[in-house]
Amino acid sequence: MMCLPRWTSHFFAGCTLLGIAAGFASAETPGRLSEHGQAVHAVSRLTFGAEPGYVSQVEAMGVHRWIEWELRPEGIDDSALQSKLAMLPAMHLSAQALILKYPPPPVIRQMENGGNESMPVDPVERMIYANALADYRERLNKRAQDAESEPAKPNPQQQSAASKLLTEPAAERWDTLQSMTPGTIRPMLRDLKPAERQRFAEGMTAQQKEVLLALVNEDRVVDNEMMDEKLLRAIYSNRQLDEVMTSFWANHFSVFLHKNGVEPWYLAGYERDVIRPHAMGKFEDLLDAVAHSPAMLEFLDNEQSIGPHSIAAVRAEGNPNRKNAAPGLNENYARELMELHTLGVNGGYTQNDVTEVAKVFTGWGVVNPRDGYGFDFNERRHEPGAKKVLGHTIQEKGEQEGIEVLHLLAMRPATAHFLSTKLAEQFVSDNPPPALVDRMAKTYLRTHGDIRQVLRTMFRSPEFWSQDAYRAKLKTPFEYVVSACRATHATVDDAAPLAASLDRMGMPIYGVQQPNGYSLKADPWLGAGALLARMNFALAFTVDHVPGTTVAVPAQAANPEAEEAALEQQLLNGLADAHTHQTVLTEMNAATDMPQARRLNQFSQLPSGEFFGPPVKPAGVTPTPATTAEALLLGSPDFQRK
Amino acid sequence: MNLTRRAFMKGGAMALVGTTAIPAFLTRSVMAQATTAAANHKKLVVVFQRGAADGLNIVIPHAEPSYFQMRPSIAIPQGQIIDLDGFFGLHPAMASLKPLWDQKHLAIVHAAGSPDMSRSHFDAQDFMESGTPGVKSTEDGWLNRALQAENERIRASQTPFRAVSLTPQMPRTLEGRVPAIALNNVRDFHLGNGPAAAPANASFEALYAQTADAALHGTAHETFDAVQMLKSSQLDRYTPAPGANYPRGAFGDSMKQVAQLLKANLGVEAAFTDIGGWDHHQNEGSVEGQLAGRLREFSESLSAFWTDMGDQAGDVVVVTMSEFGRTARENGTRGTDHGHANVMFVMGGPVRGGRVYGQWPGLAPEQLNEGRDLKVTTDFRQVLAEAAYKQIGSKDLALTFPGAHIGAANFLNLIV
Repeated sequence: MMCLPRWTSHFFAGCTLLGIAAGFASAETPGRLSEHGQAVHAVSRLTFGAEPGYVSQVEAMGVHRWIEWELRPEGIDDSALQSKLAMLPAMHLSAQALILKYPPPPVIRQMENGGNESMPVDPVERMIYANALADYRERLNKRAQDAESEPAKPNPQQQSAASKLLTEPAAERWDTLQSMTPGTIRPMLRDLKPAERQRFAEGMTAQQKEVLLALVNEDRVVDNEMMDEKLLRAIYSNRQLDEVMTSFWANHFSVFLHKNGVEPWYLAGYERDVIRPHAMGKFEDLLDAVAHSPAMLEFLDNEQSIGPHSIAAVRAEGNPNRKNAAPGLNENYARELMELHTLGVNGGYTQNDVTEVAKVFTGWGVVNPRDGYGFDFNERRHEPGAKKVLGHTIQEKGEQEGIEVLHLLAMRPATAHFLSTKLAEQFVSDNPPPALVDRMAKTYLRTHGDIRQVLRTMFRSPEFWSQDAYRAKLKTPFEYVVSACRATHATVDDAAPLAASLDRMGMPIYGVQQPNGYSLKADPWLGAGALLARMNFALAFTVDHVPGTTVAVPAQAANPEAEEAALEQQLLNGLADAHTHQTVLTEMNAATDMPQARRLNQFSQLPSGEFFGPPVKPAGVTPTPATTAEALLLGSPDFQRK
Repeated sequence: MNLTRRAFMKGGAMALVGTTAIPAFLTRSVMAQATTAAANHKKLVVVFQRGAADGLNIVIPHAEPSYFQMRPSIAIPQGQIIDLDGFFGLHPAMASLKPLWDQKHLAIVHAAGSPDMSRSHFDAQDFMESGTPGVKSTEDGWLNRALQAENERIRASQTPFRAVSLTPQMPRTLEGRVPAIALNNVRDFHLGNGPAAAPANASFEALYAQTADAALHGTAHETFDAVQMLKSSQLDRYTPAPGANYPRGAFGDSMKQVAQLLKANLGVEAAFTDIGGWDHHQNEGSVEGQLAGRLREFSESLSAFWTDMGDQAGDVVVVTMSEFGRTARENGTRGTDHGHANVMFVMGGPVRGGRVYGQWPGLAPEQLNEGRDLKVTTDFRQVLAEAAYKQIGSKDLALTFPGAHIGAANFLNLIV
C-alpha cells in the first residue's frame, strides 16, 4: 500500500526556492499545463488544498497515478485523522444514544410539560437532564416575570464554590459536580472567567469535558462536535478526494441544521453513515440511503405526509373530536427529490408527477424522531393504489414503490446530465464546457450511475487539464479556511473558532436554509463583508489569534527575499502573481521597521471558541515580517483561487 | 460613448464641484447625494420578524367576540388594548408607536400574507424573501430585483452602500446581481483592529488593486471604498438625536445603525434588518410575557428610529413582515401554532397612516383558513411592490415580483 507521508514544518530545509515559476511550460503547446502546473491543478481540485510539500510528492508519484490512488480511498491509511477525532466522543454515537445522553430542547420541553419520558438511570446522564430541566424552568419563570430584567449578577456564594472547586484535583472536581443541586451547576460554570474555564476542565477526559459543556448548554455539544468533525476531516484526512466528494454530496443533499430541532442529532451521523459510504459508489445507492435517512425525512417533511386515502387518514376523518384539518400529502420531499436531487429544475416533470411521487413516498418516516429512532415504513399512512410517475405505472407494493421510483429517477438521462453538470462545476469551472458534461453523462448512463467512473471521465478529459480551467475556481469560504490550515500545517485543537469564522464569511456549516445547498459558483462568495472577513481571518490566523489553532512558524531565512520565496512556495506552490510577489516583499521590508506595539494592534480577534476550549492567547505570536507576509499571501487574490 | 460606471461618477462629481482634487470616497458621497436627489432622496427599510409573529395579539381585532373566546389565557383584556379605530387596537407593549399612528405616519395592513400555504418557517421565509411563493428555484431576493428594476440612470451611479443589510450574512431578500453589503456592525466593518490597521489595509488594497483577477478586483474595490467611506463618516462617534432612545438589544442596535447609515449620506436606497424570537408555541403571555417583551423592543426601536431620523424621516418608509401568522385559537400550552395571515406595518413620512388597510376576513370558524387560521386577503407582495415602486422607483413590477401579476392598480395606496 502506498502512503503519502505527512510533512513537518521543517520541510523548507530541503526545499529548493523556486521564486516565481510559471504554471505553463512555454516550450510546449500554448494552453497545455506544464508538469508542475498539472500537479498543482490536480491537487487544488481533488483536495482541500496542498499541505507543504504535497505537490512535489504528487509530481514524484505521477499525477495520474496519484488520481487513481485518490479514487480508491479505502486503500489510504487514515489513522492520524482517527486520533484527532478521538477529541469528539459524541460523534461516535448513534442518534439514539446521542439523544439519550444530550437531550435536544424539544425533549426537555416535553418532559417539563408532562410527557412520559422518564429520567435516565445513569448518574451522569441524570445530572445532565436535571440541570437542563432546572435551567428550562428558570428561563420560563424569568420570561414570565419580566422580559427585560437585567441578567443576574454573579452570586458570591456560587463564586466561592467555584474557586474552591478549582483548587481540587480533577477527580474530586468531577465528584463534587455530581453531588451539586440541579440548577446550581450551570450558573456557577457560566460565571467562571475565561481563564478559569480551561483550568476547570483540566485533567478531565474528552468524555468528561463533553459533559461539562453539556452542563453549560446541553444543546451546543452536538452542534459543536459536528462542525468540529467536518473541519477536522477536511483538514487532516489523507483521503482528500473522498472528503471533497462527501462534502459535495452533503451539499447536494443539503440538510439545514435548525429546522425541526432534531436535525443536529440526525446530522451527526449523516455524512458518516449515509453519504461517505457511497460518495464514489453508485448514485442510486446514495439516493436510496438519503431517502431512508431520518435527517432528510425530517428536513423535507416527508415524515408528515399521509396518503389521503390511507387507513390513518380515513380514521382521522371519522374522528368527531379531531381538532386539525384532515391529514394529507406533503409534497416537499417529492418536489426536491426531482428538482434538486435528480432530474434538475427543467428535468421534464410536472406538478402531477410531484403529487404522484408524494403518494409513492407516503409512509416513509421515522418512528419517534425525538428518541432518535431510524427509518420506518408505516403501511397505515401509505396511499393505496397504483401511481403514475413520468409516464410509468407504479403498481401498489408499499415501500417497494419508493425504491422503484428512486431507480427510475437515478437512471434518467436528465439526472445524468444534471449531476454531471454539478460535478463539472465543482471540479472544472463555473460554466463547464457542454461537450465535457455530455461525455460525463454518457459514462454515467453506460455505467448505471457509477460516480467513480464519471469522475474518471472528467479527470481524463482535456477540458479538465485546459488553461481555461486552471485557477478558474474561487474557493468557497469553507475551502478557503481549510486550505489555509493545510497550507500552513496548522495544529487544530478546537475547530469551533474556525467554524465561527465561516459564519462571518457567510457560509455557516449546515447553515443553508434552502434545500439547494450552497452555490458551487463564485458569485455568492464575492460580497464585500465576506471578502473583508477573509482578509481579517488571514491577519488573525497567522499570529495565532484564532483560538484553538496554532500555525507552524515560518522558517527563518537569510533575507526577506528568501523568506518570501519560501512562503510563496509553501502557500501558493511558487505560482504567485508577479504583482503579489512585489507587494508582499515591499510590505515585509516595511514591517521590519515598524514599531512592535503598532503591529500587534493590527489584528482583529475572532470570537473565542468552545466554553472550555483554549482561551484567546492575548498576544498570540508576535508578528514578524514573515507572519505579515504569510497573512498577505493568505489574504491575496492568488490564494482565493484554486 | 460607453462610459464605465466609475468614469461616469468621476465626471459627474467633477462637474458638480469643479475640482479634480477630491478623494474617491468623497466623490462617491457627493454623487450619492446627486443620485438620491434623482430618486427624491427616498429610502426603503425592510424589517423581517423571523419566527412567525402572532399578528392577532399585535394588532388586536377587539370588536370580534371570538377573539376573546378563542384565546382564553393569552387574549389582551379589553381595557388594556390601545384602541386604534374602534375595531382594532395595539398590544399595550406597543404604546411607543401610538403617537406615530396619531400623526398618521403609521399604517397597518392586516390579514396580509403569502398565497403559499406552507407552515414551515424556513420555506415561508424563503418564499417571502425571494418574493416568489411556491417557487424554490428563484436565486435572488425581491429587494435586489427591485433595485435591478430601477431606471438606468440611477443604476449607473450606485455607491457600495446602495443596498445594505445589518445582518451577519447577506439575507435572501438582498441576494442577487446588484452589489449589496451585509455587515453585522458598522464598527466591525474594517480591516484589522483600530487606527493602526492602516498598513494592513494599504497592502491588501495594493494586492487587489492591480490583480488581473477581474471578479476579485471588482469586489475588493467596492469593499475598500466602502470601508473608506465608513471610516470618513466617523460612525463610531455617532450620537442619536435627542429623544431617540433605542432599547438595549440586537434590534435596537440594528435600527440605530440603519439611522446612522441613512444620515451619513452614503447613498443608501434600501436597508434590511431582522428581529427573531417570535415563535411562541408555549407560554406566549398576554399583557406581559414573552410576546410583550419582543413587542416592546420592536416598537421602541422603530419609534426611536423615527425620532432619530428627524427631518429626514420624511423620505423614509419602513415596512415590516413576518413569514406567517399563528393559529387563531391558543393551543394546549398557552401558546399558538403556525397559522397563515399576519399583520404588516408601514411607517414613514410619505405614509398615509392612521388607517388599517386590507379586507378583514373575520374570525368566525367558517371564516378561518382551514378552520384554524386568519385568511390572507392581501398578498404581501402588493404592499412590498408599492413600497419599492414609490420609494426606490422600481417601475418594472414584473421583474421585482415575477409571476405575481401585480400592477399599480393593485396598490393599497398607503404611500403618497
